[in-house]
This record gives sequence, structure tokens and C-alpha cells, in this order.
Amino acid sequence: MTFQVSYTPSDRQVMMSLEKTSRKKIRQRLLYLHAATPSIRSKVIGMALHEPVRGSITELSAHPQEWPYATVHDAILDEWQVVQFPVQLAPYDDREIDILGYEFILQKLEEYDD
Amino acid sequence: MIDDAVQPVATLAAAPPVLLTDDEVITFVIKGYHVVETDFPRAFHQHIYDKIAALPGNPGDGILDAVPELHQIYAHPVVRGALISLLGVNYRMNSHRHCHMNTPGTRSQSWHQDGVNQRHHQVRTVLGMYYPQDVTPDMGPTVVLPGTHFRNSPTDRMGSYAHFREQVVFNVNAGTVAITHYDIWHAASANTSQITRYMLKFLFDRTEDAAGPSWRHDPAEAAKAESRLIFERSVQCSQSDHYKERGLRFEMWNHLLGKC
Repeated sequence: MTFQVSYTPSDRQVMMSLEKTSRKKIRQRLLYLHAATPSIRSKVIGMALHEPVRGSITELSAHPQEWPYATVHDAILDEWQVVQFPVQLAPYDDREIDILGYEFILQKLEEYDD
Repeated sequence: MIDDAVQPVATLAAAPPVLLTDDEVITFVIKGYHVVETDFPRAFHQHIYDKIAALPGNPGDGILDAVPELHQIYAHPVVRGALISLLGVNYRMNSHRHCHMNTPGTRSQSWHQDGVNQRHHQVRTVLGMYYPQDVTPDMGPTVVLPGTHFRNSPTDRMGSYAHFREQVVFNVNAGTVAITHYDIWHAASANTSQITRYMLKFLFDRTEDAAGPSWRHDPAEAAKAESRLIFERSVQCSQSDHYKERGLRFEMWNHLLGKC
């Protein structure tokens, strides 16, 4: 079960208005943050940034990365909006472990030249 | 001459293996990998590199026939010692192996576990990754995530991961063999250099359950090191995951000790 964002009519009006006035496209930047627990205050342990630019790639680099946000809350303070929260039910299996971290997906709507 | 500088396989195989300590085995249990360096001359590794580079294609499982010098790498006492310690004295080289050729400009792999999800929390198969050249960060090193050999996670569910804060990058010297648990999460990173990075992935299997420790076991030292199984974190994770991980570590450790 996930909680996903849907744009309200007023959101769309703002986006269309921005596009008309600036002649630029409003695109969605996506930031996946994997936190140690479902709390937005827990530590970020994994990260993937997807830029809405044709040809952009998101891949694993062996070079040290910059970690701009220690927590999801830090990202929210930097104007990222959470568009999907992790499932907060405790794992059913009380012996096995599987995926690592709790996935938050965040967005920023920004202007881009087409 | 290279042939003069490198001992033949029979001599290497007859040399006493360099077995792991209790602490090293426990580190393997916690993290899922152990790295050794062979002490062959650099020219020997360069010779292997050049031989692979001259192959007309990737021979797959036939790489050992195409480059028989690889027998010497895996017969080296530090490699054999680690394999005996983790798989028992009668371990066996698996017939499947692969030469990973990470050519310049190659994109990174996604995080993955090899094989299917039937995890058992024992050490039944390990990967022996040999690097015939120095590996720098821009050459697309192998990256692993410590402790994930306990995580029974379908690879598809790792599709949204990119960087982990505590990922470990195998920036290694030529001649290194990284021995990892078969289930550890791993990936080749992007090669942005002008140099092809080779990694020979060989599999080794346990052939029998342990009747007792197959490493340099000292019960007193082991008793001291066992607390690491309880308190040490491989990576940051939720407390509930860590509690469960503790149980899985003891399951693996006890199996190695021959207790189950």
C-alpha cells in the first residue's frame, strides 16, 4: 500500500500559469531516500536522485558521494515534498530480513528549458 | 621470466594454507566478505591481464582453459586458506565461472544478488573475485553492501537503490581476491576510465557440513570475539532488523563450528 500525490486543480493552474509566463517546462525532480526506519527523522542510508533531463542517468558510482540530507526531514526543509511514504506495517516475518531501509520518494517541481 | 617467478600449481597447492583466525571468520559472518592479496609478481598479473585482453571473445566457463594461470591464483595459500576456513577442507571449485569485462564507458550494474531467493544463512558457496589489475574508483570497481548476505531480497526490489552510505568499494591492488558470501548484494560500478577492468568471478562450494572449525580456532579467542555477533552493526538499519540479524549470524557461526 502506498500513498501517492495527485495534483489538485489549483496545482495544475499554477503549473500552467508558470509555463505560460516563463515559456519553460515544469518538470518533476525525484529524490529517493532510504531511511533506517519509517520515521522522517531517522537517518538516511541510501539515496538516488533522478533529474528530469533527457539523457540524464542515475547509476552507481564508486566515488564518494555528497549526502545533502541526513534525514528525510532535512530534505523537506529544503523544499522537497514527499510524494510516497513507505509502508509502515511491521514486517510479518520475525526471523528473516529482506530489503534495506524504508523508501521515501520526494519531488521538487522546477522550471526547465525544453 | 614469469614462469620462473611463479610457483607451479602443485607447489602452491602443497604449501600450508594461511587459515583465518576466529576474528576474521566472525568478520566474514558479520560483513559477508574477506579480502586477500596474493604475493605473485605484478608481471604475472599483467601477463594474465594481457592474455584475457587478447581473447577473441568471452569464453564463459571456458576461461580457465583459456587462461590456465588462473589455477595458480586460486591455489595460492592465502586464497586456499580462506576457502578452507569458510567452506571446509574438501571445498570444490564450481564448474561455473565468468570473466567480467567492464569496458570503458560501461554503465553501472544495478544492485543484485546472484541466483534465486532460497537463502539458508550458512556458508555453502562463496564468490572468489580476482582482479588482475589495480582498480581505481573510475575503473568501475565492484561495490558490495556489508551484511546483506542475510537479506532475502528479490533483485527486482533493489531497482530503486543507487548509493548506500556504507557501501564498500573494492579499490584493490592487482592480485587481490575478494571472497564474498554468495548472497551478498553487489554491483559493478560505472567505468568512466579509459581502461578495461577485468574481474574473474569463480564460485567455490562446500561439499559437506562442518564437523568442527576449519580455521585457526582458539575457543578462548572465539568466545571473546562472539560478542561482536551481538553488538556490531554491518550497516545502519532498523533495530528490529538488527535483532533478527543477530539470530542469523549465530545460525551461520554455529553451522561453521559444526554445531548444527
